[in-house]
Amino acid sequence: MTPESEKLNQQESPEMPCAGPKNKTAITAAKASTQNDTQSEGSRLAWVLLMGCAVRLCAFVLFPDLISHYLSGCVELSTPVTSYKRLAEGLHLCAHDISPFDGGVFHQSPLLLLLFKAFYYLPEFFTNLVYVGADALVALILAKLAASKRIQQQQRIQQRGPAVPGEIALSCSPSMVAMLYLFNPLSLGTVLVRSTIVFSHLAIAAALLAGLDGLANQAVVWTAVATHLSFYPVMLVAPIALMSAARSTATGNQLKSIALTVAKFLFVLGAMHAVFVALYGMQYFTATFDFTLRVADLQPNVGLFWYFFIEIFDEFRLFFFVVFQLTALAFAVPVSWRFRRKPLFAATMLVGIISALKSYPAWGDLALFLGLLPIFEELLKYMQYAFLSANLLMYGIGLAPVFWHLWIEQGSGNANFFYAATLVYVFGQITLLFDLGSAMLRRELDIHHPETRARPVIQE
Amino acid sequence: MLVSSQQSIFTVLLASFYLLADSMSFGEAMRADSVSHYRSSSNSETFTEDLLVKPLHDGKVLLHFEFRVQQPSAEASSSQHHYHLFPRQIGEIAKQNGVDELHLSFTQGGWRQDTWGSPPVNSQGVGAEIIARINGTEDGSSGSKWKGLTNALSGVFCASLNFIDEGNTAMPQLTFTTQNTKRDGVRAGQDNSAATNILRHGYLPRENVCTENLTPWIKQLPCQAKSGIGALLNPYRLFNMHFHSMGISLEPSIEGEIGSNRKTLNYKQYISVVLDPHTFNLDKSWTLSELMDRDLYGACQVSTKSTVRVIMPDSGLKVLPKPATTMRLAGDQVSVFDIQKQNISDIEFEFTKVAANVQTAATQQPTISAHRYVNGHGGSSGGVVTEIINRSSQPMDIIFLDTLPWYLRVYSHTLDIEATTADGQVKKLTPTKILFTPAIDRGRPSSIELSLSVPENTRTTLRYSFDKGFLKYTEHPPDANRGFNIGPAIITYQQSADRVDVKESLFCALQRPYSNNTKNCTVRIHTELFLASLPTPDFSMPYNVITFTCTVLALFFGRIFNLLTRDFAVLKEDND
Repeated sequence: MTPESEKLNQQESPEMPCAGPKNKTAITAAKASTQNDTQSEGSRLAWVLLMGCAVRLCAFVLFPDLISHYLSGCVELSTPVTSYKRLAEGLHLCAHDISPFDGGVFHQSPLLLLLFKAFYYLPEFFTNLVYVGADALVALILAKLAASKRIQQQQRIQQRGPAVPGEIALSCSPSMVAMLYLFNPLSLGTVLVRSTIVFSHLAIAAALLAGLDGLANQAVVWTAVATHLSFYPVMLVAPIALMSAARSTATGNQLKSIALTVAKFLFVLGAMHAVFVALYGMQYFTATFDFTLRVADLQPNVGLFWYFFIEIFDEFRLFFFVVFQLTALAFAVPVSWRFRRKPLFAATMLVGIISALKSYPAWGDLALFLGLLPIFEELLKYMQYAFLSANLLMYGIGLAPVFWHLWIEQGSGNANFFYAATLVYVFGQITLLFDLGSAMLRRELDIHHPETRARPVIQE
Repeated sequence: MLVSSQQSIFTVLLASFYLLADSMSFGEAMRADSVSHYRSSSNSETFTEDLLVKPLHDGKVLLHFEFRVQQPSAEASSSQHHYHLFPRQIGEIAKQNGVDELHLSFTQGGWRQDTWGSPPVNSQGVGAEIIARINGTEDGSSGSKWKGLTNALSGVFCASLNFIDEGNTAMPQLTFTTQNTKRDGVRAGQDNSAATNILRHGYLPRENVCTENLTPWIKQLPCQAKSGIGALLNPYRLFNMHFHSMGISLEPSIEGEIGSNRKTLNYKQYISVVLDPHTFNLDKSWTLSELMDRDLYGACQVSTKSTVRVIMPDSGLKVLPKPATTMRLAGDQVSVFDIQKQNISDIEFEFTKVAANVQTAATQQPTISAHRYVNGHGGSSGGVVTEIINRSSQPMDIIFLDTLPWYLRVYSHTLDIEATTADGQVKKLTPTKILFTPAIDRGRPSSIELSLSVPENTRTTLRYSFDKGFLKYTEHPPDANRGFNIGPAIITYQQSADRVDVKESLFCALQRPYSNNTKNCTVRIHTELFLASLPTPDFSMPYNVITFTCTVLALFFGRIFNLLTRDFAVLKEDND
């Protein structure tokens, strides 16, 4: 622990000067209104989830041609490690007794094969139903995350008044969080192309919820599943470990708990891989983990890797693989440590880093990041570049399909067009991440030094 | 050992003497003497040469040169080999690399099945094709032997066969099974030995055929281009053609009952060309030497048989001189000229009828013909469509093989087979057997092999779709925007003597006298090639891309690092 952080710790403990004592009647009234709120909130959330599912199912039923002809070929939505077409090929190979990993097409988890094996023989509608259900679950978990944060905040306000004087807005209501996720065009598109990233999102969200609820073992298992599905969630072990460590008070116990969480995670992940290596041989390992790490398929996506590794000189290929992957993975521990008192926020930052820097990113990754953001609504007014990053992201998202069409379909543009769009998109994400992090730090300053709110602030 | 060394010394002496005699133009009697010695020596090699001339319906002429050497090897397992007429380079390459069977062909131009009828060769796919059966297990020594074989042949034929590696080698299991190998299988099964051989099929669709490949090929002929039918091989005419297929094939045939180890090695060299006499200002009447612009000097002295055969159309062709005999070949009347006995120096063709239009060729059309093309639009995905037409009045069992390079990622679950009858009815077909090998990136091509019963008088369509891979900028050929040539699909069917409804293929008719199995014959049809244009990166951009991407990455690193290491603090004002 650095001396500054210790100072911060000490400062947080005394009661806020503005939080005046409340009388008993006010508290009971507030409790009653909260109960009413919870009831109406519950029904609102149910409606949102229902509408979200209805919209997705309607799109599946009404526009099957649009989805199969235009959306499913969209490289911004499905990547070699998440594409449904490749999953279907894997299922087909399995059904014909060919190892799905003995080839260059299938790179997804055997868990997905197990899950969809039954649906392979059923009409497509059931497969669609699974995807819609998984996405609705993600939205539900996000809403629950928001709800638990809201309850914490409400308790705090009732006890000590608002953290920052004059701050009225609570974090987004759970139904709003679910709505912002479900009606985000990016997540809608991700489900419509049946990208398997949805299941990875589900595991991440479940891990975060379990972590916050103090179910350490469940959190570890879900993180291991998420890591197994798409590798990069391995970074989330750090915030999950912090979440479970936060339960114990003594420093020695905390360290022990962190070590235990990491050990449990490694054990579960190792066991999973051992089972699948035993089942499918080492081919499984090269086709999934190695494939993700070494970026063997250079199909364009919205990330930084593909064009770089198409154009890089062969001698430097290995060096840059290491540099690129380390840039993404190395920040797991520092970021979690920096925001160690807010593990959920640290996890959100890491989800953002994954979305910007993973080897096969898609719009779906950004959808989860954007889905987690409204949980921290209080940071919005601290964000200085919100307009800039929103614009950058919108340009990146809007231009990518246009430039793809110009390059691939019409041939009137070239690869540089699409590359430029992905650069803007990644830059937008980086701006957003930085902005979010600074907003959190700036708000911390306001919490601890309320008296200096009107004065200029610098970074030192 | 002693006996054999004596034998070889004697042979070398004899051969050098013969060559000396030949080059110094000794008298006829001398030649006849040495030649008769060759022929009379028992258990020795035999050489036959044959030229088949077939006037085609559209006025063009098919010339099919075939040279065969048969070498009865004493024991299949014996380590001693003597080469007299059999080309030593091929023999040694085959021996060194454990090759049981070898077919190599170089083809240029498409064989037009629908106008020219069935082809005289089994390899009509454009480019270089090599099929070899090599001793050993799949992942054992046979892989390195295959590499050795392709590299050695590359040197022999001045071709880029050394570019055949794992990336364009397939190991089909159904397509290339011949009667011989079936018998081998039986034999192997009987003595339970693990002696297996692996068939590999390599294809270079972009290989051009030219004189540099023809010259080493001609050198392998016992009389080269100096006498015999080989004298007609004029590269200027052979490469001024509509279709050209040149190749060698080395096949063992087993004599006697199953289980005997006596093998005969059959070595065949062939060239099939389709020439248009009009190109050479020859119209209605021309001679063979006019067509080839070379003279015929009589038969090759070491040949046991030297013939020119002319497939006579029903009417409209007069051939001079009078043929020695006539025979029937694949349902056609054939005039046979024996160059040795008749002492023929030229053959004159006189066409009394103008070349008929193509329509009359309907009866000549082969029973099964096939075409393949790509569909889809845009640079990121597409589909392959193969059409197989069955003109027979009964269903035909065919085997379909399509090998596609890894950068066309085939989705086997999109395979769809439909048969359309003449009156437009569509029926879904299910293959009796499917063998699908998925591709490995930069490692192995994907191959679909399926056996299928094609209904009578139908057009069967096979479709499957693929995604195009994105290659590193160094993996693109110099003219990247032209695209990649993709090798043909191969359709195989068994020609059985029992089936009267199946028109006999010209290849089978030519093959029959040399085959053990006179009843069945395997016919292969190669479809057209197609061009797959893959999306290209900007080749001038590497430095820019490296700079831009690294800038964004550095920006990320800098900002997050900033976030992690620096704290907010209240600015201390001076007047405070």
